[in-house]
Order: sequence, then C-alpha cells, then structure tokens
Amino acid sequence: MMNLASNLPAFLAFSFLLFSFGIVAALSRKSAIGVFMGVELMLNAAALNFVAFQTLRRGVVENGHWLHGHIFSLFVIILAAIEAAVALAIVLRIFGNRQTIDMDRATELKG
Amino acid sequence: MSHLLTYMIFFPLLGAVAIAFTPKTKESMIKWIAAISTAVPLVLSLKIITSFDRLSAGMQFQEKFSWIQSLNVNYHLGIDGISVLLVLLTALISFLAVFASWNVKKMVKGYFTMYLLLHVGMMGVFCALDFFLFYVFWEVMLLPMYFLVGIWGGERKEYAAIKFFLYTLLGGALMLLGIIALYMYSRGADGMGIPSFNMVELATRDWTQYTINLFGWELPFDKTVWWLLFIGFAIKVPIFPFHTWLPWAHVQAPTAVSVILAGVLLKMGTYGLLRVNFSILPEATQYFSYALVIVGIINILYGALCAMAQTDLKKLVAYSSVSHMGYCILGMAVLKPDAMAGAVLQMFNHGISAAMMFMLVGVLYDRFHHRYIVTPQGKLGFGGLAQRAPMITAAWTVAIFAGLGLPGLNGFISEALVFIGAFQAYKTETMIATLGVVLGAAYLLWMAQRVFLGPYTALHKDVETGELHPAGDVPEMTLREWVVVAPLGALCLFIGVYPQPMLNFIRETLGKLLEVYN
Amino acid sequence: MDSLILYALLIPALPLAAYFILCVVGNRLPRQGDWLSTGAIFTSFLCAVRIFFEMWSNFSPDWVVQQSWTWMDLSTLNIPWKLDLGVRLDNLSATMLVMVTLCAALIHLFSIGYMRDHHGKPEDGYRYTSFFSYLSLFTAAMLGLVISDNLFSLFMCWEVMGLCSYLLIGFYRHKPSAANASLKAFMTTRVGDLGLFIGLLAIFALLGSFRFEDLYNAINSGVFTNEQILGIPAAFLIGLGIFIGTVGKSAQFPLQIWLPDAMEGPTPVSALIHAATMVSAGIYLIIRVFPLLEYGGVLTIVAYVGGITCFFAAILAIKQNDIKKVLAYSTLSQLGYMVLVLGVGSYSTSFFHLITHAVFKACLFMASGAVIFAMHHEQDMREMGGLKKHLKFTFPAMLITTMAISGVPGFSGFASKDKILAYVWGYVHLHPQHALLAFFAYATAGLTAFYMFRLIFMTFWGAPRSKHAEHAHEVTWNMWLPLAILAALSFCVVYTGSVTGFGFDSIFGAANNWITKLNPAPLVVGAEAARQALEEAAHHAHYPAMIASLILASGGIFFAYLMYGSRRLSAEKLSKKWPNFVHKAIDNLYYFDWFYIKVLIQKLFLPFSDKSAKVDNVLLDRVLVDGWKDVTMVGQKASGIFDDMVVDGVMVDGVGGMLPTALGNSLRSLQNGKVQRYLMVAVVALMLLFLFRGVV
Repeated sequence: MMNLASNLPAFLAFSFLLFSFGIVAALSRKSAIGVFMGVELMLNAAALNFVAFQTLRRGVVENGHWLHGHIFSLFVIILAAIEAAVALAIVLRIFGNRQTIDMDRATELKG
Repeated sequence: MSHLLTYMIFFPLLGAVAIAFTPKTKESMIKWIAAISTAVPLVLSLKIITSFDRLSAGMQFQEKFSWIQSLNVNYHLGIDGISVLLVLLTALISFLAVFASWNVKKMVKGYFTMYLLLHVGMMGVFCALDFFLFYVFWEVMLLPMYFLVGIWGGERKEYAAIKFFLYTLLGGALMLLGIIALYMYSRGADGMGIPSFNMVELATRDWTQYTINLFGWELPFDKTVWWLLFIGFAIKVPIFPFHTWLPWAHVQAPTAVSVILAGVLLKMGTYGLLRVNFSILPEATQYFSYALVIVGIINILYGALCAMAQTDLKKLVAYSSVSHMGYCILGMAVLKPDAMAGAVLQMFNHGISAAMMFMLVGVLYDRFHHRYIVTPQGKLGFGGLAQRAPMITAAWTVAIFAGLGLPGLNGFISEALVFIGAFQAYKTETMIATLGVVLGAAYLLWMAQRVFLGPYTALHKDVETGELHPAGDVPEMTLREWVVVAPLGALCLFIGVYPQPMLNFIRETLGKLLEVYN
Repeated sequence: MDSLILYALLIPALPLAAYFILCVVGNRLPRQGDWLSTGAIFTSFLCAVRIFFEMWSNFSPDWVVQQSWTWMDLSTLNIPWKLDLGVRLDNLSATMLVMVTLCAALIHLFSIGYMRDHHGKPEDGYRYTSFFSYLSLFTAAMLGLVISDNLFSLFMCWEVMGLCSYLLIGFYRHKPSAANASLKAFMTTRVGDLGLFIGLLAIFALLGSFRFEDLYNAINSGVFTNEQILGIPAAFLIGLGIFIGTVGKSAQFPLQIWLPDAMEGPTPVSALIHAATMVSAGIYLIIRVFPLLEYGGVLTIVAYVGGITCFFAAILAIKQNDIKKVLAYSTLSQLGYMVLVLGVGSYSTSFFHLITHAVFKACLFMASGAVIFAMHHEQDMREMGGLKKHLKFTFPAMLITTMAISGVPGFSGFASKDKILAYVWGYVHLHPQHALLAFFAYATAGLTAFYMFRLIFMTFWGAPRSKHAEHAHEVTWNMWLPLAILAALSFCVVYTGSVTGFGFDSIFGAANNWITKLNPAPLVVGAEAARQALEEAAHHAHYPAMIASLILASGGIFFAYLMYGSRRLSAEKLSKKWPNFVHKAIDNLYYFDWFYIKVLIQKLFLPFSDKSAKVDNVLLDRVLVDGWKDVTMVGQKASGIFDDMVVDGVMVDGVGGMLPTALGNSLRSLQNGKVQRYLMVAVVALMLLFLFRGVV
C-alpha cells in the first residue's frame, strides 16, 4: 500500500486540481446540470482533503481525537446528496417553466 | 387688592375669548362685551391712580414670578410715575374708542377680538419690567394693528398695513438685538454671572465698561446698544426720518384705530426711550442728547410744514401728531426736570387732544364720506360747516385750540414746560423751536377756515360711485359721539387750568431718573 | 386772604362764570342770557370801584397789595421748582380795573341794543348767546391780565384774549371776509406773541420766576448787569421780545395789518377790542416792564416804532370812507402816541393817555355803531350827512369825544395829548438827533384833528346823501346811555381836578415816583439822571407844546370845516395835487398786506411747505422706504434664481441626483443576472482575501 503520510502533498495537489476543475466547470458550463457537476466536484475535492489529513494522523488515537476527518467527509457526502436533491428540483422547475436549462437565459435578476 | 396689574392687563383677553364664543350675528352683544372688557381695566386703572403713592419714586404694584427659569425670564410687572399716566391714558382711550367703533359693519366679531388683543398688548408694554415680557407685549400689539388697519381700513388699507407692520417689525428686531446684547453682557465682564432681563436692575449697572468687537473695530458697547434700541423706539414715536409710515397708517385706518394709534401707540415709543434708553444707558443718552434736541426740533417744524400743505384732513392731523411728538422729544432730550415733566405730560395731553381730533375727523367722515379739505379739482370739500352744524364746530374748536397750545387748555402747559426747560439749556435752538407755535396755529386755523367758516359749500361723496356732489343738511353730533368727545374735551380744559394733580404723579420718578444725569 | 384780594379775584371770576353758564344753558335763559353777562360785568365794576376807593383813600406811590399761590410745583426731594401765580393790586392796576370794567359794562349794555334787529329780536337766538359768552370770556381774560402779578398768567390771559378776538372778529362767520380777518388777527398777534414768549422763557431762565416784583428786584440788584444771550445783553433782548408782543397786540408797525380788517366784527366788538381792552393790554404790558426796557436800552426803538405808527396811520385815516375804518386807523395812531411817549421815557403819560383814549374811543366806536344802526347797517360816510337832526343823543356824544381826541382844551384828550407833546418836545430838546419823533408827534396832532372832524362833518353836517340818512332815527336807550356816560367822562376835570389839566401831576404825578423808589443798579443810576432831565425839559416845554398843539388842532379843525363842513375847498382838487404814488401807497396800506400775504405767504411760505410735503412723500417715503421694496424684490428674484439653479440644480439634482446615478449605473454591470458571474465574484474575492491576508 502507498504510504499516505509521506505522500500528503500529492493528495493535496490532487484535491486542489479537482477543486479547480470543479470551479472552472461551475463557472463555464452552459447547462445547469454542468454547473451542478462542477459543484459536486468541488465538494468531493474538499472531502478528499479531509480524508487525506485524517490518514496523516493515523497513528494518533487519544481521548476522542480520532476519525474526525472521515466523519466530516461523510457529512460532506450527505450534504452533497441533499443539495443535489434540492438543486435538481430547482432545475426541474426551471425546465418546467421555460423548457430549457441554459444558464445564460436566467437573467431576471439583472440590475 | 393684589395682582391688580395682571387683572388690568389680561381682562380684555377674557373678553376676547367671550367674543370668540359669541355667534357672529349677535353684533350688539359683541359690542357690549367689548365695552365691558375695556371698562373694567378703566375702573382698575382709576383704582391704581387713586392708590398710587405720589411721594415714592420707585416701582409700585409690582408682581414678579419666575417664568422661564433656564433663561432667568420673569413675569415682572410694575408701574412708576412715568407709566401710571400712560396706563390711565390707555385705559381711557381704549374704552372711549370702543364707542367710536360702534358703526363697524363687517366682521364685527373679528374686529373686536383684534381690538381687545391690542388692548392687552398696549397695557402690557407699559407695565412690563422684564425685557422679555416687554418684547412679547410689544409684538403682541403689532399683529392686531396689522389686521385692524388692513381689513377695516380705507382705500389703500393693505399697503398701509403692511408698511406699518414691516417698519415697526424692523424696529422691533433691532430692539430685540439690543435687548439680547444687554442680556448677554449682563453676565458681567468675565461672563460668569447670571444674565438678567430685569429692566429695573439693569439700570443700576455701569455699561460704559464694555466694548464690542465687530470686524476688528472696537465699538463702545453702550453707544452701540443705545442706537439699536433707539431706532426701534424712534420708528414708533415717530422721529424724523422714520415717520413716513404714520400718515399712511393714520389715513387708512378706521376712526377708532386712528384714535388709538395717535392716542396710545405713539407714546409707546417715547415711553420706551425713557424706560430703556434714558434709564439704562444714561451716559450714551447724554452723549447723544444734542442730536436728539435737533431731531426734536426738526420733528416740530417739519411736521408743521408738511401739515400746512395737506389737503386730506386726516393726513393733516397725522402730521400734526408728528409735530407734537417733537415737543416730547425736545423736552426729553434737554435733560432738565421742567422740560422732562413737560414731555411726560405732553404724552398724556397729546394722547387726549389727538384722540379727540381724530374722533372728530371720523364724525365728519361718517357724514360726508370724504376727507378733502380741498378736492383734487380745487374746490373746497367742506366749507361753512359752522352754518349747519354748530355743535360739531364747537367740539372741533376745542380740539383745534388744544392742538395749537392755547393757554387754558392742556397743550399749552406741556409745551410751556418744555420750552421753559429747553431754553435754559439751549437758547438758540429753543428760539427756533418756538416757531412751531406759530406754524401750528397757521395750519390748524387755516384748516378751520376752509372747513368751518364761510358760506356752506360742503360736498358729499357717494359711496358707490365715488362722485362728489353738494351735500344737504348735516346731522349734528349724536349722543354716542358726545360720549367719546366730551370727556376728552373736559380733560383738556381741566388739565389746562389745573395741571398740578398730573404733575404730582410725575415729579418724584423724574427726579430719580434725572439724578444720574447730574 | 385780604378782602381786597378777594374782590380782585371776583372781578375776572364773575365774567368767567357767566361764560361757562352761558355756554351750557345760555339759550334756554330768558332773553338768551344777555342780562347774565351784563350783570356780571357790572358787578365786577362795583368791585373795581371798591378797590379803587381803597387805593385812593390811602394814596401812596408804592401802594401794593399782592398775593400769590403755587400753581405748578415740580419740586423733588433735591431740587425746588415752583411756578407761582397771583394778584397784584397797585395804583396802575386799580385804575386800569375801573376803566376796563366800566367800558366793558357799558359795551355790554350797548350790545344788548345793537345785536338786535329793528324789531327788537335778537339777530339769531343761538348766536346771540354765543356773542355774549365770548364777550364775557374776553372781559374775564382782560381783567385776569390786569390783576396778574406775573408775566406767565399775563401771557395766558393774553392768549385767551387772542382766542376771543378770533371768535369775535369772525363772528359773522358766513362771510369769507370776516373769516379772513379773524385768521389774520390771530396769526399776526401770534407772531408778536412769539417775541413775548421768548422774553418770558429768558426771564425764567435768569430769575427762576415770572413775577414783576422779582423782576424789579432783580434789575435793582444787578442780576441783569452782565448777562448775555447769544452775545447780546440779556435785558435788551428780553425787553425787545416783550415789546414785540406789544407790537403784535397793539398793532404797531410792522404788525399793524390786522387792526383795520378787524372792523369786520360787530361794532361793540370793535369798541371793546380796539379801544378799551385788547390793544391797551399791549401798552399795559410795556408799562409794567418799563424798568426792563429802560435798563435794556430798548426805549429808542420803542419810540420810533410808536412814532412811525402814529404818523403813518393818521395819513391813512384821511382817505377812509368807512366810518369804522377811520376810527380803526385813529386807534392805531393813538396807540402809536402811547408807545411813543413811553419810548421817550414817561410811562405815566402813556398810562394817562391809555385811560383817556379808552374812554373816548369806546364812546366813538359805540357812537359810530349807533350811526350805523340808525343807517340800517350802512357804513360808508359818503352815504350819510345831516344826521345831527335825527340823532339827538348820539351827535352830542360823538362831538364831545371827537373834541377830546382832537385835543380841544377842556377835554380829557387835550390833557393827555398835551402832556405827550410836552414830553416829546422835552426829549427832542435833550436829544436833538431824534427830532423826527417830534415831527411825527406834532404832525399827527394836526392830522388827528383834521380827519376826526372830517368824520363829524361828513356824517352829521350838510344834507342827507341817501335814503337811509333821510330816514335815520335815534337808537334805543341801551345804546345812547353808554354814549352819554362815556362822553361825560371825556372832560378834563374828571382826571385832573381842573379844567386846564395841570392838576394831573398832583394825583398821578406822585405815582411817577413809585418806580424811582426802586434802588437802581449802577447802570440805571445814569437813567435816574436822565429821568430827572426829562421831567425838567418836559416842564419847560409845557407851554410851547400847548400852544403848538392848539395851533395844530385848530388848523386841522378849520381845514376839515372848509373841505367837508362848508364845502369851500374841494377835497378832490386838493387830493389831485398829491402825486399818484402817494395815493397808490395809501390805497394799498403801504403795501404791507401785499408783502406779507402775497410775497411772504403765498410766494414763499406756502410753496415751501408744499415742497416739504413733497419731499416727505416722494423722497422719504417712496424712495427711501418703499424703495426697500424694490431692493427686496431684486433680492427676492436673485435668491429665487439662486435657489432654482444653484441649490436645486447643482446640489440637489446634481450632487444628490447625478452622482449616485452614475455610480449606480457603473456598478450595475456587475449584476447581469447570471449566477455564474456571482459565483466567480465570490471566488475572486476569496482569492484576494487569501492573497492579502496580512494587509486586510
């Protein structure tokens, strides 16, 4: 098995790369689902970050200080799922109202 | 009876409120309420006169309550020898003028409400001993006058009213400036004392020690404040050249308002000069006294000259008021006891005789509806009234000779006292001023000749069309008119023959006032 | 209080009470109250006689009974100031009181007849009462003046008399001429009164009192010695001022214009005012203040004024055709005599002539009134003639008094005029440079005789020249009785105790000493010698003066007889001999009226007062006061524009409007409604936050 502790920078670099892919995807997709996909990427990159830091501290198991990173990544997954449900509901409604999910067409709040 | 002054001042206010609640159709009731509201102050003023201590020089009937504590403003009333006569004058003239207003036709309710408010203001001015209170009453007197002239007046009433109001208000504003200056500087040289509005107490201080720094000039405080206050009062007296509002106000005002204006309001100016300028700022008064003498003489002669040239009867009488107030100013300015007594007495005397004369002008105007001595076309407007209306002529004769200062009538006493005192101080100037006696006789008797003597050629002005045609017979004086004129005439005669009772009031207070000047 | 003082106070008080009663209830009294007025003055006459008797029975040159009361008191605790008025009874006032009350009483009686028409009805019931009330007031004022012990109450009574003369001269007030005359009289005397008033003020300033007693004492004790007013000696200025009052009241040159016009009043008024009372008040005044005039050196001026008046007025009287006008100018002339002889230095002679003149002039006026009444109010002498047949009582009375005024021996006027001429002669003898005064005095004597007898001859002699003259009839008893009494008093013996008039010295000459009893100041000591010298000169001049006056008087009477009595000489031919300008001057009364009225008043004074009124109206009012309205309007416009453009435009609309709009517009582009844009902003902000962590 790879030694995660000595490869922390590699994991961080990987999650950073994933996060930036996610930002680019969220900012540049025309479709709402594409934006959503970018958001999911960002979330998972953050979760990966948590896991990477947790494995760094594998050897240290003292009173209550164990597995916080893993637990938090679980939270991220749950939140991502909930958020996906809400976002998809919104997208469905937008599609229901205007038969398109093009982000460039939803500018009613233009100032 | 305590608080006599407060009751006397504010009783007409109750009357005004009562009138406000009276339905406007009940005109007779309104008039009688007004009559009672002015009769009560008259009775109270008579009580004051009889219980006045003639041997005391200070303030009597004083009332003092704290009003606005944070500013040290007190409700402070009191009268002394100078103001007691004026209080009597105000009460008497206001009461009689109610009967002169009996024929008011439009908006009777409003008229008498304003009238009673005016009464409150006038009385208050003469009794107030706190500058703040004094100023309040001064301004209270202004507004009813504006309405009385502007609504119930003659052809150019609005113009006359606004002119009077703005001019007097300007004076009032300057006076306020002076008052505030005195107030601020009354805290003392270090600015640490308690400021005071108390007129009596401020007179005891030395004001020559202060200076005002204005744009880099160091002005003497007392002389500057003297000017500010002086202009305010000078407009009211009226002193040349601030007198031009008077002919307009007098001519355009209704009869009763003219009576009050000439009888009482003009005296507020001279009273103010005595109470404020002369008492509080004696050094400055002494400094400017010669200028006052000159200005008084100008008033006398210039007023008489202008009166000569008038063809409007009321305007002639208005200018004669200017001339007579000149005697007051001359008497005050020479700072001698006899002349000042003459001046204070002249305030009372002129009030009586001018009120009488204006009432008689109203008598003529009510019958003929015009005031032309000579019409614009050059014909006599009246002429030969003695033929058809001997009683009116007799009343006018008394008024005319009181006006020109015939011995035996009151005008002579005050004029003679003024001249006696003035001659001792300024010989040449007094000799010039005595010309006013000749000029006074000239314009009054020439007017009498054109109005009363000769064949009957009186003209009557049609109220609707404004045309003049020969008048028929003239109704004589009614009882109501006699009620107004007869007491005034009787007073003229009484004071002319026996002036000592009046002088007894004035003596001690003037003595005290003049102590500072020696 | 001394009982005499009580009588003295009653004397003016009774007519004054009559005045007030008549004013109030006069119309309703029976006969409109004329008896009240007349009764009052007769009672005053009785009181005056009582006082005179008292004076006579213990006669002494310095008999004085005085009392005064404080009228005005302005004393305070520190400074005393009093004005006392009172009564002074001395030889002068006692005599004057009798004369005034007697003449006034007789004139009242005369008026009862005169002021009624030929059927005995009062001319106009209402005005009849007024007439008597004015007469009462007038008399009261005159009597008050006589008993005054001080100049102030004298001045007050003086002015009240002026009022009454105004009311009485203008009694027929429907006539414009009467109205003009009364105004003229009042204004002219008021100008004179100005001088008197200033003199009064000056006396009070110097002495602190108005009393004659104090004045005499002050002159004695030298109070006036170094006093100056405006650089002129005070006594001179004050004396001159007081004399100016007399010039006005006694119608001396140059204020004589009112007297002839005053004939507009009813004849009894002329008799009262121009004979007995008002005009003699002026002389009485200067007699009272004689020591001051003497001390101040005013007497020369006084003499010349008197001389000019008496001569030039006499000339005017020659040409008059109205009977009253002749008497008016004659009064002017005789007053001139009184002033002249006082100026020359003898006030007792002046007083003597005052008394005799009052009596015979009052009689003359009333007689002329009787003539006018008989002629149905025709006053022109050319319409008269032959009246001596009809007027059996009036004619003798008028003849007697005319002889008195002309200086016929045996009559009162002779005695007084004789003394005047003697004194003038004596004075000129002492001061030859004033010879003109002698010319005036003596020429006037002749002229007086001439024009008075001209009047007699034109009125009473010859044939009646008009219907009225033919049908004239004598007047009622209440009109000729006063004439008779006064005529009886016009004989010399009444005043001097002798027919020739030398006895005067024994009665009144002694009174001459009452003023010398004063202790004169050093300057006046010289006057003491002057008075002595004058007395002596007059004494020496007595006979020559008498002879001269007799010659002149008879000459005047003779010429008058020739021209008007027997018609030998033609008046017209003689008058043509005089050059035209003389006639013009006389007809225009020496152009005084033209000068005063047309030039001074109409051309100068009235336009000046018009200009003043214009200045007041236009310059002071319209420009300087209403002008502020225009200034305010300009200010209002300016501030309106400022408000619109600057405050509203720049600051509110601009700074408050455009700036936020521009800012907002520029920031608006951020909000394009796209969610991704917002997201990007959030990311960029996050990045910046991390980059500048330390700075923020």
